[in-house]
Amino acid sequence: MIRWIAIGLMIAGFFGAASAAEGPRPVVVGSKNFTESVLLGELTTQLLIAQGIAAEHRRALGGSRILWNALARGDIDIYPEYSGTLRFELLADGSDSNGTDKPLQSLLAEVGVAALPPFGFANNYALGMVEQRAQALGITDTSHLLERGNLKIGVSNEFLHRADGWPGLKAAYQLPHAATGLDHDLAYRGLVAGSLDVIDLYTTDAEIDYYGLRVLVDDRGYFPDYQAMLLHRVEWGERRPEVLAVLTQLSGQIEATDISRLNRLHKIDRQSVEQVASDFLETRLKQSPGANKGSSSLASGLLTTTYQQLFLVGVSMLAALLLALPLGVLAAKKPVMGRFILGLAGAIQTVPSLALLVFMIPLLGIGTLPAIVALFFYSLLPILRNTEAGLSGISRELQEAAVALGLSASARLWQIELPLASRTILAGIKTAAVINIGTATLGALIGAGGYGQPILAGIRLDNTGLILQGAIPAVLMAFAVQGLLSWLETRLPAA
Amino acid sequence: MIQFRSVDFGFAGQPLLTDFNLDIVAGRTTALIGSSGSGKSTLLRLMLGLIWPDAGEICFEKTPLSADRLVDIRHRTGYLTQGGGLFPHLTAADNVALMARRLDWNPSKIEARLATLAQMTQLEPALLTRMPSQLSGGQRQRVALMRALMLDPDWLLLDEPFSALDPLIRHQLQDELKTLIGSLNKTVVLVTHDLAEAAWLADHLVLISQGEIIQQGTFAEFRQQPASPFVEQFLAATRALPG
Repeated sequence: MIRWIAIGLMIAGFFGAASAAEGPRPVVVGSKNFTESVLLGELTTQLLIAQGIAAEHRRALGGSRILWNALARGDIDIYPEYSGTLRFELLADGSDSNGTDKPLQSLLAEVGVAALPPFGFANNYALGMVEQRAQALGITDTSHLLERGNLKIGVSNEFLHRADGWPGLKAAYQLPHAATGLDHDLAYRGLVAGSLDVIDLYTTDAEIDYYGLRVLVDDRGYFPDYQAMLLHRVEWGERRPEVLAVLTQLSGQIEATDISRLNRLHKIDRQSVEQVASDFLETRLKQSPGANKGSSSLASGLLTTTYQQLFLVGVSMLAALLLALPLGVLAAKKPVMGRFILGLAGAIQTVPSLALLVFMIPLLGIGTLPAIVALFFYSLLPILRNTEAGLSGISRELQEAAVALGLSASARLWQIELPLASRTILAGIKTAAVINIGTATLGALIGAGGYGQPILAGIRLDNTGLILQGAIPAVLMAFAVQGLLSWLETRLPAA
Repeated sequence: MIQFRSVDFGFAGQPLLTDFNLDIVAGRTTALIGSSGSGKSTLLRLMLGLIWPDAGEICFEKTPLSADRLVDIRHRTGYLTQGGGLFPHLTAADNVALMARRLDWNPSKIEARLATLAQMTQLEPALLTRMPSQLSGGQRQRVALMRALMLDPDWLLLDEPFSALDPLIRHQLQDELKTLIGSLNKTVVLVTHDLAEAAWLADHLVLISQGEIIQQGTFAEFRQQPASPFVEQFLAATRALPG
C-alpha cells in the first residue's frame, strides 16, 4: 500500500513540477552550438533579466535548421541568426540558390517571422591562411589561389555542402582545388600545424587574431553579408512589445571588433559565457545584470545539470516501467503476442540513440519532452525482455503448484509469479537505467540539458575540465543507481 | 468417487491414454503403479484440470469436471509432488497458509490449523518460520504435505511424494503417512513406481502400462493371481533382501 502511495506522490510531483514551470512564461532565448551564438544568446537573456523581464537561455541547441524549426514551433521565442544564412539557407526554396531581390524583412514576414535591427556586425565567410605562408606565396586575394592549384584546402563540413559555401565559391572563382571537409575547430589546428594551407573562416572568429591569420580578400564579391540579428515570431512580438523594446537597445551596439574580443575572452581566455556577457552589458550598456552571473559557479551548475539529468532519467524510467511491466506480463502469458511485442521493442532498440533523439524533433520539437520520449523508448526493451524471461523461467512444478492450490490468476501473478521473477526483472531495470543515464547525456543535443550540456560545451571549447564536469557525474550517477538496485536485489527472494 | 470415463489424451501427437476408464473409490487409498512414462502422473494432472482430455470426461461425485467447478475442486483437493513445489520466496508457514489467507480465514483459525498440521506431520513448529531453502528435504516434504492438507481436502493426490528422499527418511515418512491416512479417512490417490510403498500404503493397487490398466486389486490378489506375465515381472522386480 505504502508503495502505491509513494508512486502516486512521485507522479504528482512530476506533474506539479511541470505545471509550476508553466506560470507566467519567461522569454525563451535559444542559441546555436558555437561560441558566438551562445554569447549573443546570453547577452540577450541577461539584458532582459536586468530590465526585469523573466528570461531563460537554452544554449547551444544545435545547428541553424534546428533553431529555425524550434522558433517556428514556439519552443523558443528568440534566437540570433545571420542574414546570409536566412537568405541562402533557411529561406531558399531550392529553385533559386541565390535568393531573390526582395528585402529580407518581407521574405521573413511570409513565414511569420520578424528580425530586430542588426547588432551591428557581420560574421562573414572568408578564406584564410597563415600570414607567413601567404606572404611567401604572395597571396592577398582569393583569386590568387587560381595559380596555386596544389594548395591544400580544408573547410568545415557545413561549408562544404552549403549552397553559399564551397560549391558556389569554387564556381565563382573557377578554383581547381578539391576541398576536404572537417570540423571547424580542428581546421584551425590543421592550418597552424601546416597540414592545411587554406581554410574557411568566420570573420569574427577569435582564432584569426590569436594565430595571426591573413584573411583573403573576396575580390570577386562572392560571399554575401552575414549580418547578425535577433529573430522572433511576428505574433509573439505583438504579444510582447515590451521585450522587443528592451532588445532594440542591443541594435547597432556590437561591432565586429567587439564580438571578436568577446569570442576571444570566452574561447581563448576561458572566461565563462555569463561573465563575458555581463561585463559587456555593464561597460557598454551600463546595465548591471548580476542575476545570471551566479549560475556559473561549479556547484550551482552541477546542481542544475544534476536536477535536469535526474528529471530526464526519472520520468522516462517511470513511464517505461509503467508500460514495459504490464507488456512483459502479457508477452509471457500470450507467447504469440509476446513475440510481436518483443520484436517491436527490439526494432526500436536498434535505432541509434542519436537518431532516435533527432527523430523526435519534428514530432515534439526540442527540449525536455522529446528527450524523455526517446529515453522512454530506449528503456522499454531491457525491462520488457527481462519481465517476460523472468515469468517464463518459473519452473512448471511451481506454476502448477500455484494453480493446483486454487489461486486465482491475479493472485498467482502478484503473490507467486512476480515475486519469483523479481530478480530477473530488476536486472532488466538496472540495464535500462544504466543505458538511460548514458543516453540522457545526448539529450543536451536537443536542448534537454543534463550532464550532456557541459560535455558538449567542453567539446566545443576544447576544454577537458568542462567535459569532465559532465562525464564524471554521469558515471557516478550510473554507479549509484546500479548500487542502489543491486542492494534492492539482495532484499528480493532468490529465484 | 472419482471416475475417468472414456478419456483420450495425447501429447505432442502421441496418444498417451485411449478410451481410459477407472473408478477411484471414496474413502480408501488407491495406488497407481507402473514404470515411468506409463501415464500415472498424467491422471493426477487431469484430475486437477492442469491439462484437459481430448475426449471423455473426469467426474467428481458423478459430475463432470468443468471450468466453473475447477476452483472448488482444487480447494477440495490436496496435491503433493515429488519436489514439494514450495514457493521459495515464502516461509514454510506462509506456504501452508497461502490459500487459507486468500479465502479470508481469520488469523486465529489459521494459527490453530498450522499447529494441528505440524503435530500431524510431526514437524517441529519452530521450523515454520524458515524459508524452504533453510529446511532439509524431509522437512520440506512435511511442509508440502501440511500445505496439501491445510483446507482439509476431500481428496489427497500424492505424486511420488517420497521418491526424492533418502531411504531412511522415506521409510519414516511412509510410516507416518500410513498412520495419518488411517486417521483421516480421506480418498487418497498415490502415484508411485515403488511397489513396496504402494503395498504398504494402499488398499487398492492399479498397475498401468503404456496408458492401459493391466490389473487392479489388493496386493494379495496381485500376488496370488497375476493377470499377465508383465505383472509377474513387475512383482519380481522388487528385489527381496538377501538372507
